[in-house]
Amino acid sequence: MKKILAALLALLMAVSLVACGSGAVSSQQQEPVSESAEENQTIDFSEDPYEINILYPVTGEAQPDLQLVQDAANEIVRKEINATITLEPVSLFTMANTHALKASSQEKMDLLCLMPGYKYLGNYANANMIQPLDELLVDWGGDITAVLGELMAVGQYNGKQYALPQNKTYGKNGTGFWLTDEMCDEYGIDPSAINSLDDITQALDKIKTENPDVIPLMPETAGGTIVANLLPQNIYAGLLTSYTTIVEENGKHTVVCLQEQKEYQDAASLVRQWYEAGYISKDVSTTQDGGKALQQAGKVFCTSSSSIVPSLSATTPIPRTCVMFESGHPVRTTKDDQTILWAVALNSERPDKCIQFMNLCYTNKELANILKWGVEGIHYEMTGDDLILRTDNYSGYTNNWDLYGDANLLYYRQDIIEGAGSSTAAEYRKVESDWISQMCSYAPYYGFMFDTVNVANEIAACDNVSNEFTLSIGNGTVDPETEIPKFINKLYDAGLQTIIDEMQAQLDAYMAGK
Amino acid sequence: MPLFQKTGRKKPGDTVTKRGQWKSWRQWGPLYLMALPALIYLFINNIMPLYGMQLAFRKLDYSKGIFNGPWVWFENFEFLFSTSDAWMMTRNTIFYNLIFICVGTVFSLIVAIMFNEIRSKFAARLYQSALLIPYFMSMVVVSYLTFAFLSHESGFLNNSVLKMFGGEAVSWYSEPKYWPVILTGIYLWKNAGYQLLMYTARLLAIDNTYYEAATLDGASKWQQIRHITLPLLKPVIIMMITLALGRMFYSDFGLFYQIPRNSGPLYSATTTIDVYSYRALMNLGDITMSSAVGVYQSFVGFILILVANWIVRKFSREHALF
Repeated sequence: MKKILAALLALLMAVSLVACGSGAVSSQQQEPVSESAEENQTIDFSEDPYEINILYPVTGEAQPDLQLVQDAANEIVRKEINATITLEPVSLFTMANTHALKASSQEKMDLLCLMPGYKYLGNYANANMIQPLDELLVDWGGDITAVLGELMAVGQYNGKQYALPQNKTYGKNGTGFWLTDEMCDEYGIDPSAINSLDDITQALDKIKTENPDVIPLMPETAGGTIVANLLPQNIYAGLLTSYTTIVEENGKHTVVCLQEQKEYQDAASLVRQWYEAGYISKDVSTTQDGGKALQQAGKVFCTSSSSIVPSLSATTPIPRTCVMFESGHPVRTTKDDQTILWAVALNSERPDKCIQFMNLCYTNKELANILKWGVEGIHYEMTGDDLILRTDNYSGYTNNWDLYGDANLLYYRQDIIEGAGSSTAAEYRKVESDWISQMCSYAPYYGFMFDTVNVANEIAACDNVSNEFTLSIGNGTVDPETEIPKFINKLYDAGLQTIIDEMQAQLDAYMAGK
Repeated sequence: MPLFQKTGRKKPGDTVTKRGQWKSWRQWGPLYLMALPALIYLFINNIMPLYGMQLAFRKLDYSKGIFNGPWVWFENFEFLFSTSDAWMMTRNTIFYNLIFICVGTVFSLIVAIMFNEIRSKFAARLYQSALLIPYFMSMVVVSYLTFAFLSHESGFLNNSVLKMFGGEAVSWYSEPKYWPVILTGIYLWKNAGYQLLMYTARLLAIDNTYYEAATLDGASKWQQIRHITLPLLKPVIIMMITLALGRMFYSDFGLFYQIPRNSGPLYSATTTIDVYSYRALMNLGDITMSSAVGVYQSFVGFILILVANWIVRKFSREHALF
């Protein structure tokens, strides 16, 4: 028995040695490829097309038409860079685990989409799961660098380019409330007259007394909190974790505990009042139905939301009007531009092909739209210049986010831009750029990234504490008077001060070097 | 070969021992052969992964292969013990397991003995199947069933039962004090049927003549149960309890995560080691830290089963597992 065990262990070790050996060999092989590329900078069409495996996030929908989309995309990809792509949906909720398992078993994996990228970039780079792209970008990523410009910086870690962000069209959404138009009319509520939280309270009260069957207020998504959307944006923007924020004191940027801030405590007691008055569903913290879905079903009057853009507000599928206060105007931080990051796995055999493909995503309009909307004629129809309407079969391929490359290349949905009051794509683009220039501002510490590698244990412990309290305090199901002090105590017990000190040191270093 | 010494007849001389060995191989060989598939399964599933235990003591580094990262020894374990929650989750894990072992054993024993007295075979089977059905239900489904009972706005308890008796609506998902009872109830409902099977299997094997003799001697039903059924069930009970003790540091993840719907205010009553590590590591994808949790649980579980076995050996040697 012992001998067998020993033999098997030896075998296992041999296998793992061979596995890492092959990894080392493949990275050696890459060198000549990029070197030869530097000489002629052209794509070799004589070799067999390389198959690029792309892991992209979905929320769990079935994708029956994936093959169709892949074939359509491959026609372009094969012609342009002599490669093919394989799309592999990964559930957003188990993304990190899927990546870790694939990387540890050396499964084929080329391009990874990290979402939200700010959470994973440092971890992945530290664990050597992804590789630096600087040289590859010089050789093959000319268009990427041109399109992204300064935005490239958000994909860097320790001075190396590890990831590529998606190029966004609009800045960031604000925070506020969505009101159902129909109920506003029925009960005589004028959304344009709502200018303060008191006005919101009165509107909620009116709904509560006149129609007890309707829930007056819910957070827009299940698992979201109302308090987060009541915080002033300068505090909301500094939330690099759910318990720390960055405030400006005497011209110096200081990392503080969010729960100790007056703004948070005030918001929490207001939400508690709303909860006790019956404006918020008693099941708010345990239900799995998001407020948005309930609002569409006519069961909720108002949702608190972090997706408010008044000028672009979509009124489908039911007419809603949004309310945003001065404090809800978005402040853009590094985190916002790091939501979607693309990285190349370390065990990719041909990282050059991956970058060539990414380069194509930032420049090839046809490819970008296939990956976003599916195949023309099957999933959507063109209705005008850069305008489309989705067909009834659109759900065969659903892509919830603008993941790939440059979002400026994408077509607009006609129903959405019409809902927002524009009639052409150009008009809509103008509204978008106005929103960015007039409403969005950049945080003074934009560009700062928090590297969690030295405090990973504390983060794991504090995240757990935060899970315990954030939702119940944030939606008023418990009394903030007693729970917030408990929350703060537990956070410090779990090592919050270490996290704050570490973040402050990193922030100081960043601000000094800026 | 110490394994076979008991069977061979002890006679001096080499040849005889060899013959004895051959004889015992002939006698027991087929049995080992029959066990072979299970042994292979055990080897692949339980012995081979032991090699991976070293992950818990290494830093994650994919560039050299995960088994070649630098040693960090106990750094990966730190997050488990860095908070005041360390005590809370350990307490919960042990406390719930103890309750489950006690209540579960007593309950399924009682029901098994009662079933044994049912004369109609059809009825006995019907009841047994009915009790077994929940065992096959997914915890996610049970979670929704529970929510239908306990939901604040539309739950059956708040809307029908409590209203009927004029009670105040209770916010079940934010009151930790009710949850030890709720979780134990759900555990019983779900698992009693399965434990019952173990006891019933043993009960069916008891020779009926014992009972007939006892009846002739004028023993009452209660006396029959006390002096025949229970002593004969003792080995099964001890085995089941010892095995359960070895899993003392594990918990049914579905029961403690899905059923309370991950509701924050309930954490103090529902967080076990598995649930804690899931929450802490779900988003990190750090397999070395998750391995650390696994190693910690198995190590303490191993100690516990040794201790439990040692205690059993002290009191009745023949019932010990090893």
